[in-house]
Amino acid sequence: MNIFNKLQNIDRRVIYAILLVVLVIPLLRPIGIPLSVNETTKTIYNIIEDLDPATDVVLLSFDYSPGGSPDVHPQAVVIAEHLMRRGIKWVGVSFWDAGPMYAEQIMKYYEAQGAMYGVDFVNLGYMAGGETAIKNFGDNPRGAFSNDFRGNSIDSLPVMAGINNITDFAYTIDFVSGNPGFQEWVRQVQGPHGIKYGVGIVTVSVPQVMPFLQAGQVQGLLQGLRGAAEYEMLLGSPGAGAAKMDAQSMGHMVIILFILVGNVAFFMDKKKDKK
Amino acid sequence: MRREIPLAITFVVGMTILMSYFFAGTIPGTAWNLKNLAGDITGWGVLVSAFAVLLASVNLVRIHGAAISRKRKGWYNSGILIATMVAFALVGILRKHNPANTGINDLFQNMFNNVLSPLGAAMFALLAFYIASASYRAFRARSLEASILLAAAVLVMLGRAPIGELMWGQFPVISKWLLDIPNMAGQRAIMIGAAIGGFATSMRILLGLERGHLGGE
Amino acid sequence: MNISGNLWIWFMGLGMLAIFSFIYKENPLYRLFEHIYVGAGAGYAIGINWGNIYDRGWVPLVEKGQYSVIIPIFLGLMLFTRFFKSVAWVSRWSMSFLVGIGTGTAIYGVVNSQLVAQVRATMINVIAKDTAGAILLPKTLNNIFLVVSVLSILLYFFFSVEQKGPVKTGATLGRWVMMVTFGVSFGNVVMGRISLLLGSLEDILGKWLGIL
Repeated sequence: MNIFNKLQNIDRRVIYAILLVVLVIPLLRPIGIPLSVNETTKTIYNIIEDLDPATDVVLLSFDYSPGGSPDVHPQAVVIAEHLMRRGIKWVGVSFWDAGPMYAEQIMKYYEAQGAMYGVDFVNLGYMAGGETAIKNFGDNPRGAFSNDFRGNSIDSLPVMAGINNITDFAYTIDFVSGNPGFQEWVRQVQGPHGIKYGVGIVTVSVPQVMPFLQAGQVQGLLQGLRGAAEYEMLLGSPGAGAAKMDAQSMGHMVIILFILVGNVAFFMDKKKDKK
Repeated sequence: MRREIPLAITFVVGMTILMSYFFAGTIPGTAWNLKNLAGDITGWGVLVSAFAVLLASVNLVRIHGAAISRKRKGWYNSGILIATMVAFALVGILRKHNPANTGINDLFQNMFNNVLSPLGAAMFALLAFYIASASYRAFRARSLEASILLAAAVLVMLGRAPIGELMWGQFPVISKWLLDIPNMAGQRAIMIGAAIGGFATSMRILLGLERGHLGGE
Repeated sequence: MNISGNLWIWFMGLGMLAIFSFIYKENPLYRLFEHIYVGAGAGYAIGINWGNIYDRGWVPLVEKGQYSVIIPIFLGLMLFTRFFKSVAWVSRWSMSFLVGIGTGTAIYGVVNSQLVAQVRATMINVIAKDTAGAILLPKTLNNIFLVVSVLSILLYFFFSVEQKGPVKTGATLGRWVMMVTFGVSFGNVVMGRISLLLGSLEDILGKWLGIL
């Protein structure tokens, strides 16, 4: 058994250990690698900057699960921060059952700082049914919920005053980790009603959004954890996203190294066998 | 009739929804408005879907209940599963009917933040280790196509990581081009093909030619 | 190091470590927390969906007198007949109702937003010009590459014509472009999985152990 053969058959727990060490060290000792900002992130930032706090209400759809939350929840946190800084009211809705609890996490944080539920934001809650629910909500957002997640009548909430159609929301941002997600929103709401629609999505699904971005169906995209980090840079408040970028870089490098070493070992071993 | 009535339900419901996209007004000779009818039907669909979600939970109780009653290997884990399920369900239902009770609300939030969310995240985080192992052991550039795939993957990873930008300023440019042009073309073409296939399959289901959703006799 | 004194955080930390212990070897601690997670997910789904059933079924029926709601309530309850062999066929009515809604919404949505809109977005003016009318070469080349790539991939999947000669050349180009697509997807999958792991590590090292 030559060295290349041994390299190929290395115990997988060694690979796991190397990955862990490479990720933990930059978390403990950040390097501070500079981060550039994508155009798609700037699009969302500029749209929110152009909104009028006196009249505009934004819809945030929390469509992610615990499995996707490390990638997407930092995006929701930073977008909420921008909206709160600008004094723009927002409404939370969810078509994934975990969504309302993530919305509550964010709302409770701002309530502790003096924000008023019902006046600054509201959590409509979860609607079962996937694409059917998204269509039902898009056709009649006011009629889709009689009470919000906290049991208040929709009619009693100042934020919901003037919201009768989906087009009454100045901008909709959908935080997505799977299906139902942005494709269902485009099919049932953006397409039929022509709303302004942005997406914050898990890194895994970023390639799938590109055709919709180019076609103008999606206006603005936060690309995974990096998207959250970029937005934090735009706001001038590096947070959870930015803190993990150094470790993310190291993770990429070690995976690339694994691919290279694995392939070199494979081809060298093959060459030796031929001899 | 066991097959005919479900097929008729699918056709009537599906056609009502489909026609509501094209005809907004009242159906001549009737007081029915297709859009309102479609809205009612999708509203009913939300309620039926809520019951459907409970199906999975009922099935879990059946399977793990049987494991406990027959004292199968690891039956105590099944007991813990059912106990956890009952705890979450109870607190969730209590929260719904006592929205002003901060104790119950905080309990539910704590259960979600410290049990469901982190354990779910950890389950999915395991995939990072598997992808590292797969990258080392399985991804081989055995052919031209595999080499193109790996090269694209490496360039994207270098371009998207801040360190890649530090190594060479053109990595992000190349990565962006790969995402915006060839990837976009590929995703679009696959989507167009899938859309045609999806349309054909939906029409077949609507017309009763596809009966897989009915199951066996 | 500032280890949390909160019992909930300790449960979270120990639970996450137990899940991660699976990468070393499957063990009873992993199995315990796996069962806790599955039970939590199922119970949470019941707790949250009860809100939908109560607000959309019980309240309209009992408090508002909207008797038409009996139809979806019955359809929903009929779903549970699938657990009893003799009456399992009844659940087909409910499934057919849901499938009917699904196909009706899908047909319009898919054709409008994924077929027509995407084809329209591909029908671009390949010659890109700036405001002064001068041709922008990089953008023009990109546009040509885009249109040719989409057509070549569609040609690859066109099985009604034998793939030889120019058709084979086009299909081969399509296959290569698809390999780039899959490579980009793989790169994003790697990045995404690492992000997920980083989130969990942040919870363990930061929230629980207070090292970050």
